Amino acid sequence: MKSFGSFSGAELDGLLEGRAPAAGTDLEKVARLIDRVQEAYLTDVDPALEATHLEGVLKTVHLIDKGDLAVRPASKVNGPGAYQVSGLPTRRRKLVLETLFGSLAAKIAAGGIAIAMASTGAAAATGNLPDQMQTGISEAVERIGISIPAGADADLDVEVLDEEVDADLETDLDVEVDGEGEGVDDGAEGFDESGDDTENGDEGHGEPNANAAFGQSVADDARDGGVDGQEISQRARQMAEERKAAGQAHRPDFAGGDADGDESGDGSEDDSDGAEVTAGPPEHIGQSGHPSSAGGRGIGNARR
Amino acid sequence: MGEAFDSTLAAARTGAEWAWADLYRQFAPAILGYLRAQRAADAEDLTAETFFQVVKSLGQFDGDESAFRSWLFVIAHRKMIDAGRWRSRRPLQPVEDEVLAAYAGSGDVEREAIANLGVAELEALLSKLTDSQRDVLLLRIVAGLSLEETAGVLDLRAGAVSALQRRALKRLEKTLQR
Repeated sequence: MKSFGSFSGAELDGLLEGRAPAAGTDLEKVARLIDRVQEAYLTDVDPALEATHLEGVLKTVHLIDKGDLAVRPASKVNGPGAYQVSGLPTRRRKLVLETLFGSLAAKIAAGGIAIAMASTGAAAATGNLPDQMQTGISEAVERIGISIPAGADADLDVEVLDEEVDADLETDLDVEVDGEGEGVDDGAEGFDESGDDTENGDEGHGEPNANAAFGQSVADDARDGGVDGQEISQRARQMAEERKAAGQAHRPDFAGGDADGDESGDGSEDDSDGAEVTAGPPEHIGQSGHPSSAGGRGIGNARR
Repeated sequence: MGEAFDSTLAAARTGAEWAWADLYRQFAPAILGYLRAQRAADAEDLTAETFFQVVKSLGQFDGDESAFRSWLFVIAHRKMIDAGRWRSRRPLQPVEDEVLAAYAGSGDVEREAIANLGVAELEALLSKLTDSQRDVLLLRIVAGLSLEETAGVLDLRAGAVSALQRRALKRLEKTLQR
C-alpha cells in the first residue's frame, strides 16, 4: 500500500479538490473523512436563519442607497488578496502620530543645536572651543548628521550645515503636529539669518566678562522659553564687531548656568537645550548624549 | 453560479433584492459551514456580519466569481479572528481516542464507520490539528478554495499552505489509523 508520505502535493491537492484517490492507498480513509466533513458542514442554511440574515442584508442595502450608511472602502481586491479595513485603527493612527512627532522632535532638537551654534557658531565649527566643550558638541551634533571637528582645524561650511538642518525642519513643518512647529519655525528662521553671520563672526571670542554675560543672557532667555535665534545672532554679531574693534581674541569662558536639563520631553520650543550648551560648565558638556531623543533635548540634555 | 454570477453581481450593485438573495443563498452555506467547522460560537452572527460587510464594500470589489468567493472568506476569516477565535469557540465535546479508533477499521466497515462520524467526532478529529492546519484544511474542503486562494485568505505563501495541508492530512490519516 502506498504510504501517505509518498503522495505528491498534486495528489493531495486533487484529494482536497474532490478527486478520488487510487483504491487501496492510505489516502482512501482521508478521502472518506473529507467527504464526511463536507457532508456535515456544507448544508443549506436554516430557512428561519436565512430570512433573518436576508432582512438584515437588505436593510443595509437600503441604508446605503439612501446614503444613511457610510460605505467603508475595502482594499483593492482582485482575486485572493489581503483584506484591509479602511482607515487605520486607532492604535496605528497613534503610532503614526508618535513616529511623526518623534521625528519632528528630533528635528527640533537639531534646531536647538543650530541655535546653540548660532552663539558658539564659528568657534565650534572651526574647533576653537575648549577641548571638552568642542568634543561634546561634536559628538552631540554628529548624531544628527552634522559634522564638526572634535579637534582643532577643519574647514567647515557652517552655512551649508545650517541649511541642511533647516531643510529638514522645513520638511517636517509641513506636517504640523499640535502646532509644535511654530516654535521651530522661529528658531529655524532665526538660525537662517544667523548662519550667514557665523561665517564672518568670531563668535565666542572676546572679553571673558562679555562672553560670560552673553552666555548668561542666552541661558536666561532659554529658561523662560524665549530664545530667539535672531536675537542671539545679532548679539553675537555685535560682540564680534566689538572684539574686532578691540583687536583681541580670547577663548570663551562661559559662566555656569542652570545645567538642569528639561526632561519634560517637550522639545517643541525647548531652546534652552541649546542655550545650556553655552551656559553650562565644561564638565557637563563633555558628557555627550543623544541630542536627537524624542524629548527634543538639545546638546544640554544630551549629556544626561 | 457560473455565467449568472456577473449579471447577479451587477444587479446587486444596483441594490436589487433578488440579486442579494441569490448571492446569499449561493455563498452563505459555505461561510456558515466554515465558521461552524471552526467551532466559532457565534457562527450565525459572523455570517450575517460578513454579508453586511460585503454590502458596504461591494463598490470596491472587482473580480470574477472565484475572486468574490475568496473575498467573502477573507472577510469571514478575519471576522472570526477579530471576534477572538479562542474566546468564542464552542466547547469541544470530549471524544476519547478509543472512540475514534473504533472507526479505524478497514474495508467496507471502515468506510461505513467514517461515513457515520458525528459532528462531535469530526470536531474531535479536527481538534487534533493546529489552528493553521485546520484553517487550511477547512478553507480547502469546506470553502472550496484553491491552494492559491487559500494562501490569499491566510496571507501565506502557497508553499506554506501546501506544507500545512500535507501535515493536516497526515495528522488525520495517523489518527484514523490508530
